[in-house]
Amino acid sequence: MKLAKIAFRNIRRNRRRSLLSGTAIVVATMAITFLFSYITGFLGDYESNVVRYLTGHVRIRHVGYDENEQLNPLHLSVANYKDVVRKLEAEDGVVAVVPRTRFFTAIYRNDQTFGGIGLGVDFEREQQMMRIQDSLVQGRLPRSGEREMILSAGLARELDLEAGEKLTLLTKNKYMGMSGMTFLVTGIVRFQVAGFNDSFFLMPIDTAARFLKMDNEATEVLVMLEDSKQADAFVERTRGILANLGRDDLSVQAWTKVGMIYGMIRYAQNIYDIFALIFFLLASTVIVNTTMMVIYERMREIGTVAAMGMTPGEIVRLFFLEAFYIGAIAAFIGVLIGVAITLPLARTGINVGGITEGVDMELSSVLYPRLNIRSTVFVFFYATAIASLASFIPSRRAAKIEPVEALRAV
Amino acid sequence: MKFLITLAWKNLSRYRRRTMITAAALAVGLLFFIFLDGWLQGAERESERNIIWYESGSAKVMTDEYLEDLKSMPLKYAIQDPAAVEQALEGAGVTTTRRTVFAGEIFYGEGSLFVKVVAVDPQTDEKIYRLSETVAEGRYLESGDQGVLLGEWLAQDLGIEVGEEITIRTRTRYGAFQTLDLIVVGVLNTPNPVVNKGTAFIPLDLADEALEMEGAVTELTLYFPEWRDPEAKIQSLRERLSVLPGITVESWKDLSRDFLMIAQAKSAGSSVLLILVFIIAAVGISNTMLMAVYERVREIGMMRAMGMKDGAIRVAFLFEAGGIGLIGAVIGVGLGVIANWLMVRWGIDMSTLMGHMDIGYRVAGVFRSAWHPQAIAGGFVFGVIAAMLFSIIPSSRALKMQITDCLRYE
Amino acid sequence: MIRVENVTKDYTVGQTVVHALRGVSLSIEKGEFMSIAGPSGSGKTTLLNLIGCLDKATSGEIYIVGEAVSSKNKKELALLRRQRLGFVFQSFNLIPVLSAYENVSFALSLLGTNGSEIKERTHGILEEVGLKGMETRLPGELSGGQQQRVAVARALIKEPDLVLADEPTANLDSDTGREILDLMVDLNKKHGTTFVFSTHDQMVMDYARRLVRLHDGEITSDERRGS
Repeated sequence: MKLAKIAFRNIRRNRRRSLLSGTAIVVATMAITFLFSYITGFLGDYESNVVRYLTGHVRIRHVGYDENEQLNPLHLSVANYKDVVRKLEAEDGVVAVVPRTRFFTAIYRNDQTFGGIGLGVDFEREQQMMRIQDSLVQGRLPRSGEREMILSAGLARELDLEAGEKLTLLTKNKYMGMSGMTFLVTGIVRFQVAGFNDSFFLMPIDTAARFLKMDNEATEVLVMLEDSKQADAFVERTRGILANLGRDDLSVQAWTKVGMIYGMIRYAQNIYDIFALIFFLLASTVIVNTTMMVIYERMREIGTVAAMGMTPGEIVRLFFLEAFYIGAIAAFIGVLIGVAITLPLARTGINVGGITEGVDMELSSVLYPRLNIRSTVFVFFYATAIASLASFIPSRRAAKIEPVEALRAV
Repeated sequence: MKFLITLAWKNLSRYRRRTMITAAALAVGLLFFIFLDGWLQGAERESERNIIWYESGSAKVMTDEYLEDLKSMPLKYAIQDPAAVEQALEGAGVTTTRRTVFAGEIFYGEGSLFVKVVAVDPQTDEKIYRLSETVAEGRYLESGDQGVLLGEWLAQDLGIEVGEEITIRTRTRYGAFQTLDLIVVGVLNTPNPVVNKGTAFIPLDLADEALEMEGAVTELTLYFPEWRDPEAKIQSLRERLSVLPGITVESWKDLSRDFLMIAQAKSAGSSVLLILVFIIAAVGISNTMLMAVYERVREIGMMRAMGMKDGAIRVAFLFEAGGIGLIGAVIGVGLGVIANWLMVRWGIDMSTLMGHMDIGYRVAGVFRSAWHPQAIAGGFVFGVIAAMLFSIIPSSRALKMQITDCLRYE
Repeated sequence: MIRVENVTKDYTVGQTVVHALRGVSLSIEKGEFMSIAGPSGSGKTTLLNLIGCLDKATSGEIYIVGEAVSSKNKKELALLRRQRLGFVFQSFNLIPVLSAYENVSFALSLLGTNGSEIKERTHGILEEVGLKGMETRLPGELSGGQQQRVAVARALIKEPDLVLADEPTANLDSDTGREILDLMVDLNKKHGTTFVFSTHDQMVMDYARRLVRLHDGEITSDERRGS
């Protein structure tokens, strides 16, 4: 029975003190719940953007491309990409396979030079990947094979162009010579990643191929999977498929292995876990103090129950339970409040636009904190565990009490 | 008074464990605060320095139109008569140097890459910028060189070494294409990631000829000792320059808006964290003081019955709480100062983590903290005072009781 | 049933060593109604604590129903107390957050008795001590005498071999004190439970059928009286 009941009654005995004891944990848990939700949203957003815009879950490129990535080596491309795309699309667990051709160019307009990143894409296939149609704010998407393009909103503003106007591009082609072409701007698109808005423009991949003198070539083929955790397995499968086709000119990489992105995500999460630990420990100091106080106050009671035959272990458990309940209830309330704070923000999002513009990370301008098991259930258990462990130490001292001494206490 | 202090001290020693635990919570809070603050200060100061020494000097003079289109580096809006500007600024307590900035495409190896090219006057540039001190390989520029300096990350990413040849293609002031065949005379390793990553430097006379500038430059960079708070100086400089139509001057602060926003956001974020930590410490102190007061209600009653004034009792508790605050502050600030010193001396090398990423702060590789005495002193005082404040309510409560009730209190 | 063999108890207060008991031997039979009497400092509380297994002797041995206690650890002693001993304290020592009923039944739940049996026996003993109808009251709502009755019920409910009472009437007025003593005499007769008191109150001493006097840590007399 009885230990639990007695523990509960004792908590209610001095309500103010119990409340105060728990308050610190409520505050800490509430903060951590929000923080973790924020991080989840943040990292999730980052991950999503990286996957959709940069690497897919699996990326196929020419073996020599990565090394020279900065130099935009168009000749180190995925030849016969249409074959590769078709073969991979047929596999299980694949949401989309998209070919892309990326090239850097200087746009010369009104006697000024602007930097731009061109992306030749398969607009239909990108419906699942970059979901360009969702970001279209003006006009329409270009038609396959036509000399049409869409501009990102920032670039359009700088170039002072709107849908329906024309733009001539002069750029270095695959053979390091110059190619020129005039395009009709059919639409303007606003990406959610601020950094892309100032430099990207998109055109049909076959148009890009003509423009850059690339015949059935793309600079990369990206695959999006249903389950991101299957990336490594899919890489193996793809390697097998490509080997069978005799394509030893291609390299396949899972998104987790591209650059520092994934490493950073893991690292960030670890840092925040430690953060939470420190917070919870701090908050637990209050319960520890209270437990010590409580044991001292109830010395005579301890003596009495010891005389009645309660073993030292049971006495410890009594006080431990009291602290444990306060901790658990406080953690629960803290999570609830944290959820209450996060929910409205999860809907409206937090505008971080000003900051993300100047920064090299693929972060959207609006971040949505996301509640998940980690930021709620895990946080609850984490907080309760730390509070319990901390209060175990003073509780254990109750075992060392001599009944004779305890009975003499006032 | 002395009696009250001794009383407070004795009471603190009576409950050593409880005092230490409470003080510990406060100490951790202060430790966090000082560490975080030092880190942020360090990153900010270093960024400021790096912006001023390697990017924008204290201020830049340019034409109004150029400022408006700053990102696109429009040569056509260059300053026609830089000598006139220099004359107008004579005796104003500023050092000046001329620079021309333009976009260029570097051709090397397997492809090409767009960079920012800065043409500097090797003689005068050193008076304001510290680039010449950061030469990692090779040598600095000299007038008349057909040479170029590259940022280290840029050189590394492309695999270019000193002595090799690269071609930069750009457009002249009048829109004609121009190519420059240059020898890499040196590689710069600056603490500023923006410079390291995407900047090349050539001599001004070379640029003047190649871009058909005819003596015009895109900007004049200024240095003045009041750079920390440039507003007043900028005002007076603007007045001086009002004789020249279409010319304006902007401080480094206005030119690095992105950095400032990030710094602010980081400060805001860490402020929130610190507030939370302090709330938790506050709860701890309140709890402890409540316990202290309530377990001594009888003692208080006795003291009052013996004639001790209420005010004196309040002061006694104030000292007791202040004592806890003092202990916590001493430990917290002590540890904080040690931690900060370690960070100032050695810092943390983030280069493996961040690679060549740009996160807005102009710090490359090693993040060092700075000394912020105001924060340290402020934190100390705040800790002690806040602790004292939290004794007021509990002791007031006890003093409201009737003396006889106090004595009877169980 | 209880044998105390040449027991001594020393303890240090600061620098000095106090010899609370200097070689005490006695044996207590089942059903006795015995009082250990003596002035303050005579060692009577110490002796009671030793018999009650709340403290350990410095030398000598104590046997509770044949079991030697000097070699037992804290847990074993606790279990021994749980099963065989009942206590009544001077300050009642009821658990403030539990009702009269719960205070009493707590003793049984420690023994692991099942629910319905607990209920029956608790109501029964509370009625016996004259507290029928007061089961749900908290100690704070009971008078001194009533609290002590609860304490007696608590001690007795587990049908212990021995009930130890340390100055049980010291915090009660003389009328109430007499009531409690009458109660205990009654229970002693009815259930045959052995009672051992420590006291310096003459009234209590008069109730006892056997009176052991202690002075300066030694037994000075041991009388048996009929009653």
